[in-house]
Amino acid sequence: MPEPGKELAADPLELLARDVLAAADVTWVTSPEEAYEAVLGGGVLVLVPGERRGLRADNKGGKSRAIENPILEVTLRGPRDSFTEVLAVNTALIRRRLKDPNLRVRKFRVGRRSKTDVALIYLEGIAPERVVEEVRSRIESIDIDGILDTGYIEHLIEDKWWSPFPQHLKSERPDRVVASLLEGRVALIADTTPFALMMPATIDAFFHSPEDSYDRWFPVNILRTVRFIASLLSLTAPSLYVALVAYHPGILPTQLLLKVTAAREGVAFPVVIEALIIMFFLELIKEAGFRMPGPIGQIFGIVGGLILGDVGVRAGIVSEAMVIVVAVTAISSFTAIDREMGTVLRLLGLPVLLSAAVFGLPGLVMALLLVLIHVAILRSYGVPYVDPYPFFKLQDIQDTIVEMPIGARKLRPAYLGSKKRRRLRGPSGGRGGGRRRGEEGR
Amino acid sequence: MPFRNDNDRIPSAAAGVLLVTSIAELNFVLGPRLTVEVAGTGAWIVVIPAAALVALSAWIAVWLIRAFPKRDLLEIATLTLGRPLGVLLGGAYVVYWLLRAGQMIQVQTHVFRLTLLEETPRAAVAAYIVLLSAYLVAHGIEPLARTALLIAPAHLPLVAITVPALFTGDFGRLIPIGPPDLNAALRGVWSVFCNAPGVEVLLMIAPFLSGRGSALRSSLYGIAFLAVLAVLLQIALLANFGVVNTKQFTMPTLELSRVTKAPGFEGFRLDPVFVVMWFVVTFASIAVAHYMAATAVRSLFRAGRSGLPVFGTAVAMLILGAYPIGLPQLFEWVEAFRLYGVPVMSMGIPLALMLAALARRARGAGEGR
Repeated sequence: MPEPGKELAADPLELLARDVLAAADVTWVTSPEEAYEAVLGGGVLVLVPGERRGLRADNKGGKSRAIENPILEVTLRGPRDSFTEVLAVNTALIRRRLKDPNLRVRKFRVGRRSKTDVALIYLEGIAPERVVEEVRSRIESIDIDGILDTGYIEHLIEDKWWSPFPQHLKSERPDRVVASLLEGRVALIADTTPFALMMPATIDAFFHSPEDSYDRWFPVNILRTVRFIASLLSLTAPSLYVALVAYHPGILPTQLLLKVTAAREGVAFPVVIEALIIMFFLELIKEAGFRMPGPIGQIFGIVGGLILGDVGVRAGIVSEAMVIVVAVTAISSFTAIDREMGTVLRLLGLPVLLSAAVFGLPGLVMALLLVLIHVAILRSYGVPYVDPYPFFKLQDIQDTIVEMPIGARKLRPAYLGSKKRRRLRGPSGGRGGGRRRGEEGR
Repeated sequence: MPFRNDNDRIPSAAAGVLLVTSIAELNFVLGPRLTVEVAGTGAWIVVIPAAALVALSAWIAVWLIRAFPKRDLLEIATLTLGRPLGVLLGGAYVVYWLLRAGQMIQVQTHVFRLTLLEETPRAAVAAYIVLLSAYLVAHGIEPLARTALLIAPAHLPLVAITVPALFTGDFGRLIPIGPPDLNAALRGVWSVFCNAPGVEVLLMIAPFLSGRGSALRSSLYGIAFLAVLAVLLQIALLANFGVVNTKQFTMPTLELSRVTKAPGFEGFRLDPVFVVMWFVVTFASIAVAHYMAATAVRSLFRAGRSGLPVFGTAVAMLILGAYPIGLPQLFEWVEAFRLYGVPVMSMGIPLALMLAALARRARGAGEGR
């Protein structure tokens, strides 16, 4: 309704737009394409006979999933909300945590047919301009019919498509995304998916949990080290076992060697075949477990693992020692914060295993060298994937395999190239004696 | 030579890393015996003046880097000695680096054959090593330097076998019998110097250094690190085995790793662990030599970013590394190669280039002032 005393517009469309339509967002439509987009996008199109333009009124709502607990990134401490499939909700979840006027949300529409809304989010002045522009240009260069998840975008804009390693950080947690933005990274969220992408990605960040910053530094550092060791185990445990048992049993301590030899008595296959069989069992149970409904999947996993392991040992297909090795591998791979990284490391264990089966310990080391060389050549948006480890600036070690207490992490990581490095100013409360500057001596 | 991409730019600290990588190779496995043969009980102390000689070579290299900014060895040679001599020197360095890489592969595959893989064909192992090296080298100097630094902890097993051996050794074996033999000491210094090849790599990586300020300092740190390791190893070997036994072992360091025990692990043998870990160090040295050869070929043929030089040199390395040759003949060849090749390529030619540059400076001609 027009305000009392206010003059009515002469143009009927102007009148509708300004005074009648009670929609949150009313825009002009001047071409048939815009008209299609308005209708197909869930908006209302208002056309008046004789007018060459129309009005688009957006008052989108509709049913959407409520904000729920994160499913893949579960933590004991920290916020419980996670992204949903609605872009506006997701940006709001980020804005709620970052009430900074420098928070930029640049929107794109990707997909010729799906016309999916994608938002590039960064903190101006903190995120390097070079990375923001690189992400923007890569998104704009996407020419595909449809985008159904950020996974599509990830694969279309990553640096090396042939690499098995993920080159974007992914999260369903707004707090993790915000932490990344504050470090100087850039985030990408899309409508219809709860997974955000963050870039540049460094291998180290795949092992950092958001919880690491919420808990005490001492247990965090121990557990983070456990996570790194577990990742190494998931890559190497079966191949190390095969190399030692098949080629260099003399390396093993005598007692262990006797037990392993006794365990392998009666096993029908060479150790490498044994390893391949049990690894296949493991993947089989895991895949089947994922496809089954929740509780049944869990039961299936436990029962399948027990039965296949036990019967396999009794039937002389595998040895107890091998079952233990592969179980350790599987458990280790699930400690990775990033599910994809955990899976990649576990599956990369297969070529490493084959190399160890052919060349023994030298083969294992050469395969690991290959993996190391590969990660050393990778870059994510110009940032080396293995940063900050070699050639690091001393302050960059503050959040790597070890994490300094938050009060000691005054600077943003140098390797991300942020223009404003300082995060924390002055001593934290305790170290400042609980007094504000200027209060000394009162 | 302008920077071409991010993979062609390394911090000046990388100079030290690449220098350590280039020098270390198999020298800690083979070098001690050669030095003890000529210097006897003084084998440990001769390492220090030899390290000073290596440091002098590094100083010459860095002098040339500063005099000819953003120029590599071959470009400096062309500028100071003329195109024909520059090309000739370039060719000589390509052959030198390929021979170095080839002999490292030969020795490494023999070591594997002797200790871990008795039945595996050496050619297969050599091919694996060369493929890995080609993959790394094809991606530029920065990933190479980064990998070299990432695998620096592979030096730790050497420390792990050396330090405990220092406590079990008899230091009386280090005391010379009879009057000091200056001649033996000098030959020992020369032997260690000849077994420390690789200073010339500084001249090839110069165009890629993002700053030249601390190249000398990081190189000197690297040389000091290796010298300390070498001194400790020689002391541990002499104190545990004495001069006579150390001379008799083909690879005394490997023997030391065999007698070292990990506390609480009965029957646990450290020597295969040491062999494979030291292979990691050697691999980095092979890759550095490969990179140098490929870059020199690129520079000679103005091949830009083409991958052909990398794969061409890889084939040459494979042929040299897999050529069937017995271990005794190989060792003879390696000793001769080092005795004549290393001093010329690491110090002789850079010194000649420095003198030529000084002569140009005196004439006031062009670059290099």
